Amino acid sequence: MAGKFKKSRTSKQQKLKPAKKQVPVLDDESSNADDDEDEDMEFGVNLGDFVGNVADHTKYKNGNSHQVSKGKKKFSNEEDEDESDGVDDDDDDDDEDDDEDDGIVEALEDGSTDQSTRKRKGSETLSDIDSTSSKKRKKNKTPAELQKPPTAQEMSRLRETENLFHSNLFRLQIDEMLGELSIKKKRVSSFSDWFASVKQSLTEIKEGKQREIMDQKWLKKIKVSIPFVQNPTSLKGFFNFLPPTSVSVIGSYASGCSLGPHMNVDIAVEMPLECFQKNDNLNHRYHRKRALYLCHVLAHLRDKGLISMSGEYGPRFELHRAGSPLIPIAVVAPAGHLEGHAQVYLHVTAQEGTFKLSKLGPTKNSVRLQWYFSTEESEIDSGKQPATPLHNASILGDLVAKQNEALKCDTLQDHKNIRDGIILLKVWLRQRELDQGFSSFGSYLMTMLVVYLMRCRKISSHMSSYQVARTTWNYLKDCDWTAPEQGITLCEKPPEGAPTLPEFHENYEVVFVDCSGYCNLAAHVDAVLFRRVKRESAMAINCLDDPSINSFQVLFMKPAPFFRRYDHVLCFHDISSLQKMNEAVASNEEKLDKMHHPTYLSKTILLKTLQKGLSKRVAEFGVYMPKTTSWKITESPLQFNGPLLFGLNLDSQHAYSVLDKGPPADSSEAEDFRKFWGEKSELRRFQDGSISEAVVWVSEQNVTFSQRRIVNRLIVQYILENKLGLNHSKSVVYLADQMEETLNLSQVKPSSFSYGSGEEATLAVLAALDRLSSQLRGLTDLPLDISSVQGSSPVCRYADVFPPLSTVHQAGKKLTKPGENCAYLRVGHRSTMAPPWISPVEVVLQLALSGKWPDDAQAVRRVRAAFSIKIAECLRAQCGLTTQAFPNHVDVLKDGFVFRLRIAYQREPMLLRQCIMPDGMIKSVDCKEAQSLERATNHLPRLTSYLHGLHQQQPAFGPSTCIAKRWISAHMIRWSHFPEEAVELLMASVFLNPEPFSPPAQPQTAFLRFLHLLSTTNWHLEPLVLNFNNEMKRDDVLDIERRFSSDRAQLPALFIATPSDTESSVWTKEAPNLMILARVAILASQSLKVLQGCYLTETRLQTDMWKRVFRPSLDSYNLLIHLQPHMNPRRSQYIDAKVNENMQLLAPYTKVKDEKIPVTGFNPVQCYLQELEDAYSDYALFFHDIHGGNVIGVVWKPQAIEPKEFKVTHISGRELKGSTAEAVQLHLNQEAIIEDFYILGEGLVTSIEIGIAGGEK
Amino acid sequence: MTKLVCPLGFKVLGLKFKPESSAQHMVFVKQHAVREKHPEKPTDRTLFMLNVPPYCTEKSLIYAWRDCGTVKSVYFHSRPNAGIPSTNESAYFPTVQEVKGFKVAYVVFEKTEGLERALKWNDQEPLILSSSEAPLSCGVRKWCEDYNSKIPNVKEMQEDIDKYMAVYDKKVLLQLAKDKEAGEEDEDGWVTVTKRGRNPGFTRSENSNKKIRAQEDKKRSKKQLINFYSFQVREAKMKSEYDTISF
Repeated sequence: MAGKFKKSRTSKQQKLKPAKKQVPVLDDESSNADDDEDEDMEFGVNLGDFVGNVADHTKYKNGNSHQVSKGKKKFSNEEDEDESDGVDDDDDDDDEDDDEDDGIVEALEDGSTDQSTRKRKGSETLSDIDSTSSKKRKKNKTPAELQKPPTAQEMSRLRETENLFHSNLFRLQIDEMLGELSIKKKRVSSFSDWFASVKQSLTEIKEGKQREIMDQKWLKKIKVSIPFVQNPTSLKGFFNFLPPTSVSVIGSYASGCSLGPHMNVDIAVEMPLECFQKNDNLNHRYHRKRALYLCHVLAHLRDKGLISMSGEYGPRFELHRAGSPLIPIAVVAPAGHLEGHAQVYLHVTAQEGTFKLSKLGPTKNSVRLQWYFSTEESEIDSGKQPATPLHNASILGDLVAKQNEALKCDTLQDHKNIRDGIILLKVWLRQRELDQGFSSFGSYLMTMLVVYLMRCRKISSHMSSYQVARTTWNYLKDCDWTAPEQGITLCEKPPEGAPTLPEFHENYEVVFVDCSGYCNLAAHVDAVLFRRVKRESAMAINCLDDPSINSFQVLFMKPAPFFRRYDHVLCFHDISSLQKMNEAVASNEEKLDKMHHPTYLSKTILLKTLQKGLSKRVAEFGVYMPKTTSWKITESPLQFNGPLLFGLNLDSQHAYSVLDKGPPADSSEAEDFRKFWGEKSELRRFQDGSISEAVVWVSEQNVTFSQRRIVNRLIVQYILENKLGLNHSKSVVYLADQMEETLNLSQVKPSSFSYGSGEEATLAVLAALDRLSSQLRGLTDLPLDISSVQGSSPVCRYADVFPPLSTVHQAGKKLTKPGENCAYLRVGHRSTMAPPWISPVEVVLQLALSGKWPDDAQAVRRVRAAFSIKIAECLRAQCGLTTQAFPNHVDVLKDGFVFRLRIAYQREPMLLRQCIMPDGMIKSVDCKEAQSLERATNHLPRLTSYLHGLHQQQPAFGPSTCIAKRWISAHMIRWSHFPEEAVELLMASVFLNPEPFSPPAQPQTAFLRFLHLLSTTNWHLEPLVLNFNNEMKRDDVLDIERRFSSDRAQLPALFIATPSDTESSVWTKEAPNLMILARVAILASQSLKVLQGCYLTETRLQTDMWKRVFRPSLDSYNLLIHLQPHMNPRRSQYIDAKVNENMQLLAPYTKVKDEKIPVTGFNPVQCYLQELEDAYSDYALFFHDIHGGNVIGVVWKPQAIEPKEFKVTHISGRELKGSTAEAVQLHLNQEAIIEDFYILGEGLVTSIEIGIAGGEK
Repeated sequence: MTKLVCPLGFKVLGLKFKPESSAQHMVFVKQHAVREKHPEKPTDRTLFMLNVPPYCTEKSLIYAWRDCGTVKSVYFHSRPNAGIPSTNESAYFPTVQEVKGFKVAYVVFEKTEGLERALKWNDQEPLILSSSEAPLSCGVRKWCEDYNSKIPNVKEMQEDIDKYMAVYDKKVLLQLAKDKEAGEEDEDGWVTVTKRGRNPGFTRSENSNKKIRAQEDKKRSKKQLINFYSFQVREAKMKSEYDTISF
């Protein structure tokens, strides 16, 4: 037991702070709003800024480390106190905690403060705490006290944790979060004062005159417009205002489980029975009276000055959070100092007994056909009024609210643990956007579910908050409220005449009956959403059970918004066309019940049809209803104008097939199938001999992977056009593969396959490598056999943005001349063009074991070279390949690709490190050479095999990585700044640790998640642990985390651990540094913002919109070196390169006589960059887009520009300025260095321009 | 250029790539003078240059100083150094990296007069590194040349390897013989323990040293008495309790 405790203690110390830092930002919108100002700037991520930011960032870093150490200190302090003074002291400590947390929360929430002040604010409060804690420590610490045995209370608390919570750490994190979400006591008391005065004032309100309902002129007088779309306009009946029978606080605040620290309070104002006449439940009459009542109440409160009228806090109307446009509510802020801290939702409800509940059962009708469609009575048989279950539920909800409220408060009272559990569940819902918008799985429903579980004794009152959440998830995972008879009810003894469960199931998709037995609480929830909740619950349980996942973070901290969740997203921006569709497709019954909410009706129709059409291809559907925004009380009600979004997650088994096999031709379903698909359907004979109906979407020949991924789009297009009469190009934007366009070729195309997003080309390379590898292993005359052949280029990991293409190479034209085996470059004349770009495929060869290798690094090098010569000869003689041996490798031309074979000798890095001391002792000294050799021959092949394996499991990995790499390089960040292997590993983490999502199947989604990962992760506090194939055990992962937190200062800025490299993070050792990491984070968050903007606002997506994210801003460079385009062999890969309409067909490879290995890997731009880096890396940073970028950005290093005193070590690159011997100083000789840039880039550089950022200097 | 007073006794000269270049680097020169002398860098004939630009080669410096006299040799270092840089034994297997970036140059003249003339160089007149008669290859041309020169002549490379390996094999044999000899008893009856022979010793490396130390420590700790005296027992008990409660 001791050992176990000890372990968790250390991990707690590591994690306590990080958890605390990340306050769950629940309100996504408010956090977005902070940054809105910057949006115009788009990519104006100033390099100047960003160089400046380095200082800022280091400050940040210091702040963090400070925080971490503080966390430790404080923790030990707290703990010590527990020991010495018992539990009593705990409270004081907690209070202090709260204060500090509020500081953080406020700083995070405060929209107006910019980031830097935010940090400062945070650090100030922290340092305050730090000083107090150190004071305390001085006070009472003697070793004897430290080692007192634990008190009984402490022991019981320990035991409790073990039994009731997931883990110690989990408990601490939960406590921490609940603390931050709690509402301050002083606000509670000032709110209750305010509420008392409101109540008082509302009871004194005067009776109004009796008027016709449609006589609404009085509204103009009180300057409130009715929050209700009155359609149809004509309606008979009278309305007179009577003072409310009761005013009460309801909802989460009343039951004590609301989410803080911002107060959201629901207040119900009950309309007296006398306001209604008989049959007011019919034809929207109830709803219109209710709306008028609300206007009156609101006007009264405003006139009494009880609610704030100042700008942003002024009263507004909103739609009921889980309700429909029929039941609007008002949002007000209390006048006075609570104004910015509390929001009050005014609901109007009806007194119990206003209507007979049985009149509003699910099978009843409360909107008459003849009224709604204003038709003559005779046309419709009045006996057959269709049921209007949704409409009924909206009235019932108000009528039974009080009853349910009482039950809820009754059950939850005195059980803080249960209430905490509900808060946990609410946070979980909110992070998944499940409680957002109309027809959501709202927090009210969740609370009632917990109440239900308590009543049926699935949750006992002794359970901890964690157990409550867990039990609820477990229940949700296994239940099914959609299946007949499976719905649940809170009503133990249904009153006579109450509808039966089957009746509910017939009229609602999901059934959860309230305690009156009449109202379905889940009336608006559809089966798709319910299935999603179930799936999420199952995932939550999995997370809790999987020890390798940091489940707290995943469940409560990480937001999982719609955009990053689904593989394919359909956006319907044009609501008017949907309205037309509603009119045309919906039946009268549907219209009657749902027409008041047109988007909801469209959703139902679309979902039904899409589900039928896509069937097995989609694993999970998601719907995003436009968010209900609030509007000012003087304005007319908002129409729904946001986009309606559908999300599809692909089922990897079925989604990629190019045809849908239907029922056998002679079966009865065949007729149905033919009817649905129309002329698309055709009879086909399948390989197993059966003859079936089938729909073919793409011809099977030459279909690329990228085409297969979007077969769904074709289906959706077909359905929309033929089934629903929507013009797909106008009304819907299908987001799935837009960004894959960045991977397309612009100039040439291969002859034997279609190119797509490059996966086919990669496969061609791998096939050639396979053939070469069997030839290599079959070589006979070698002294040692070749035991393994492993590719190590990015292309072997499916991660080459532009994989090499096979073609026939001809030497001896204008640019090259043939040599013995290789083509040489012509040097003589002034060359004006670079030879075509051919990148070699790196391959590592392992030889059979032998004891005869020499014991000296230099000798080993020569033996390797001798082997290279021998292998080259053998391949030439035995396999007829063209080869050329080099001192370090062999180049082989095989099937039109150039392979670069390197021989690896395991002991060589060790030998390179060996150095003999004067006394004959052998010492191991690390050196760069050994490191890079180890990387190339040992780590890289292993990484390649990991990632290759990952791609086999997750076929979206390759193209996603390519997009990510393309994006990084498009922002002129070179692999020397941010190694490509690091990008690949970061992308791997999107697939390996997908929580809270499932692994993506569409590269675009993966890319969005990648951007989010980059923009939000604080790499200073979090290591990236990639557990490939689950090779690492739980203890190994813990070990890594422990080492990470203890040695943080020595480890690289970005720490990545893989099973083969748990300690040193080989790929990020030298780069990226903090500055580049910060810049990439800024770029990522800006890109993400632009892309999300596209999703939400753009009605027509131009390709340009996407490409904006891939265009660098050149504003931030001091110098811009423009290059001769023809000298850049990769110019055709540029993001904005002109696409050649008639793409040139690449000649297929054939072996010709006198074949030479073409000029390989020769890129003048890279040579130039290498020289610049070698010579001027002390003074400047160089940025360039490797994929055809035509400009090099230069930023002077700030410390290099500063004048220096005269010293021999400072002289390089500088000039002397100053008149007297004492006052001379060394200044950077920028003029001469710019001249040097011209000299070094002779023939390549066209001009050097002083950039915008350079003008300041 | 205005006259500059330069500390530490340096003379400041301008340096241009081509006569028509507009900007110039400032090189700092003085007579080579250090305590440890090297025969290849005689103080009376060697000029010490600082801030030599990256693209400068031996040839271009010889060209730049051609007016002062014949230059015997030029040595480049990354920082001031009294010795001479080591050279590569083989063209195919370089062991020494070329000096990159701004460098330090030592220009050794044939005669003392050369140095004297160089030190009296008119500081209004910049040095010129390259001209049409002695061009310095840069940019695309240089990279093309580099690319071509990296393609080896396989036959020559094989010969180069064979030569080195022959020498190496001889060295290994010699070492073997030496070890064997050392293994024999010498006049005083001492035997040197080597890796080979009847009773091979272990390698003298850091790792093996560490291992031995650890073994010895372990042995020593076994001899110590733990939990023997009553105060030790008490402390141990307290410690274990403390570990239990502080999870």
